[in-house]
Amino acid sequence: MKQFYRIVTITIGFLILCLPIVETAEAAGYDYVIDPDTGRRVSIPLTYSVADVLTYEVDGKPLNQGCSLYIDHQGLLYISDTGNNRIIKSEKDGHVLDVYTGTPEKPFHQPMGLFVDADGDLYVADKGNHRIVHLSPEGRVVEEFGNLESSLLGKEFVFEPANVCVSSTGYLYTTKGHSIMTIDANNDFRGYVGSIEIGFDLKRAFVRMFATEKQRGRISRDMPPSYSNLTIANDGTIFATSVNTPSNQIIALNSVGKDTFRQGAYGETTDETGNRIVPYFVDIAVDHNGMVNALEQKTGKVYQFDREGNMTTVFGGAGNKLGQFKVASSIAVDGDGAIYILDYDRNNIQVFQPTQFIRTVQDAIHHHNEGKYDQAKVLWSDVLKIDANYSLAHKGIGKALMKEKKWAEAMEEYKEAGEMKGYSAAFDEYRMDFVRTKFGLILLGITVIVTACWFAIKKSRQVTRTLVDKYTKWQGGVG
Amino acid sequence: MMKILSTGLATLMHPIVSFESILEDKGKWQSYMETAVLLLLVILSRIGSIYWTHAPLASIRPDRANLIVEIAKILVPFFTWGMAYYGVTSIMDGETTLCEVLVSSAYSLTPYLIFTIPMSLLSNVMSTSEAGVYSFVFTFMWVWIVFLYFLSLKEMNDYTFGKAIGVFLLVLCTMILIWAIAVLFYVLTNNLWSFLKDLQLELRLLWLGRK
Repeated sequence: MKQFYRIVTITIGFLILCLPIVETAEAAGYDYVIDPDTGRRVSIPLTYSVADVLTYEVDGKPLNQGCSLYIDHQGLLYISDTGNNRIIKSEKDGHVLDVYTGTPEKPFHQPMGLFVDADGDLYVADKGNHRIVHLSPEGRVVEEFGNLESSLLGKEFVFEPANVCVSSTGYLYTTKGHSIMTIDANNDFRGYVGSIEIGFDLKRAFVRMFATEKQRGRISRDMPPSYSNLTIANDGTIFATSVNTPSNQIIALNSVGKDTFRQGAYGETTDETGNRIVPYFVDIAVDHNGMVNALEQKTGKVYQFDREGNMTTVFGGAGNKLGQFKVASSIAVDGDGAIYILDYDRNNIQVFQPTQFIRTVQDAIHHHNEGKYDQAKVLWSDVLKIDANYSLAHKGIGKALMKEKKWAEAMEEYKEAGEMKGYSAAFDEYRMDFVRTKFGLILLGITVIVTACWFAIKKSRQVTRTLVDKYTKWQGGVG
Repeated sequence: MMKILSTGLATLMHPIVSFESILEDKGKWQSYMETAVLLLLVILSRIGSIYWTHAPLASIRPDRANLIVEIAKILVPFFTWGMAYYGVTSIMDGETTLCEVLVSSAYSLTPYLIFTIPMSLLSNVMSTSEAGVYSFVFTFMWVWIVFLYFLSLKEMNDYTFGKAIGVFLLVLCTMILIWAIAVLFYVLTNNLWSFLKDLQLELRLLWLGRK
């Protein structure tokens, strides 16, 4: 018995030493795109690198809990320094031009969202004062919006704007729960647009059906979907981000209030270490070419899309290194394509300059959207010289080849991109051409196949004959 | 081989005759060989179809396919069916042995053998606009296979039609039950395995970490 124990102990000890140690993957900092088919990350060359870090100290007080960042057409930065209840206006290099605190009688209280129109007029979502303030380019308070009176809003309505944007027609837009509210220049409420539809949810239905009042209170703590931020593009499209919703976290509302962005889920459901998360998009910025940059707070990632919703890059991340964020709160793009990201916790702005690679990608998309397919194709080839696996480039070349009616080559590119819809369209055309030119050959082929099938069936009848005969006879010759 | 060919073709054209002949066969070893060869052919046609099906119609991309998963997708349902079939028929006054069950089930897959490869080759002249036709052929094939399975159950155990339907449904329920038990087993032992794995890791670090 003693020996038995010894053997067991030795065996177990041996096994323990033999089995491999499973190493967890290191969290890697690289730029990537997400393959729409598999949901896996595909790493791509560096797309943005930090060129500058801006910190501010005005009147002896450093930036504190900055919530929002805006860059106007002249390239001036506006930062809402929420913790200090002021707005800082600065140049791109961080040189402070002006500081706004509101009027002495009614200073800003928790100023959040900012918007600057083409004339340089500043709009501030002054959340703590329940108003939106309009300042002239010199910083003089022109008017304020708030105190809305409308039978549509109800008695419990509280106006707490956290963001604002103004269309060229003079309408103000701000998010309110799961809707975007519009206010006209006369401070009149003009209705809600783009309400998030709350679809059917099996879990919620079950809870409603079976849970008691007490249980329900405990379970349904999860927050309802709501908009988190919005911005307006040059063409007047309103882009908005929403949170606590599994899909369509990024929308693009056209002039009639319809979402024209790709339908589906945005962001990722796992973070760098593999934990499950629900994406939390806090801000969105659209550059003059129509590239959409959405900022996700939990992972500190910036997701960039073209106007059709194709992902071009994901960069950034949560952490303490340069190019990472603690609590990224706002994103803005200047006229040159540099991306500015405000950190709520670290109280700085990191300036990301695009690399040659992502610039070429964006140029190619821009040319394609303008209908200059030849030039787009050349640019896409340049992209492929840097990264031969960049699937958007293959897709772009495929589109250009379709316009040139080079079906076979287009098929090849679409296949490379994994774009089956495009591939199929190219193949249809290719097949049509083939049938047109080689009709006789196809007819011959079909005849041969049909004859072969006929012979095969005949032959197989012969083969089974013996077996069938044997068993039908055995059953008494019936059949 | 010749026997497989003739019995297989008979299954397509005269299924009842084919199942009778299987019952008559007393060579057990040979029957198992036939089953193995047929299953191998099914697996090979699955692999072939993965490689040769036209990309827009393919259910899976060759570079994403996993050989073991693909084989399991064929073998696991096959053998659960065999187990459930044998188990249920032996208490529902059936007349088949396990060997006969397996070999008849394998022959019932012959439609898969004759359809898969030709269809995947034919798909190369089809695009997504013909996806309807393509999937219809496969639906037809699966209906045929299920019909053969049902017929083998009915003929080989001498069941009446009504009873055959009842037993057939019972076998399907048993299959689901077997899988449910397998999942349950996995869920219950999963923690144990991960515990042992962690323990192993801890001890190993303890012993090897200190020099």
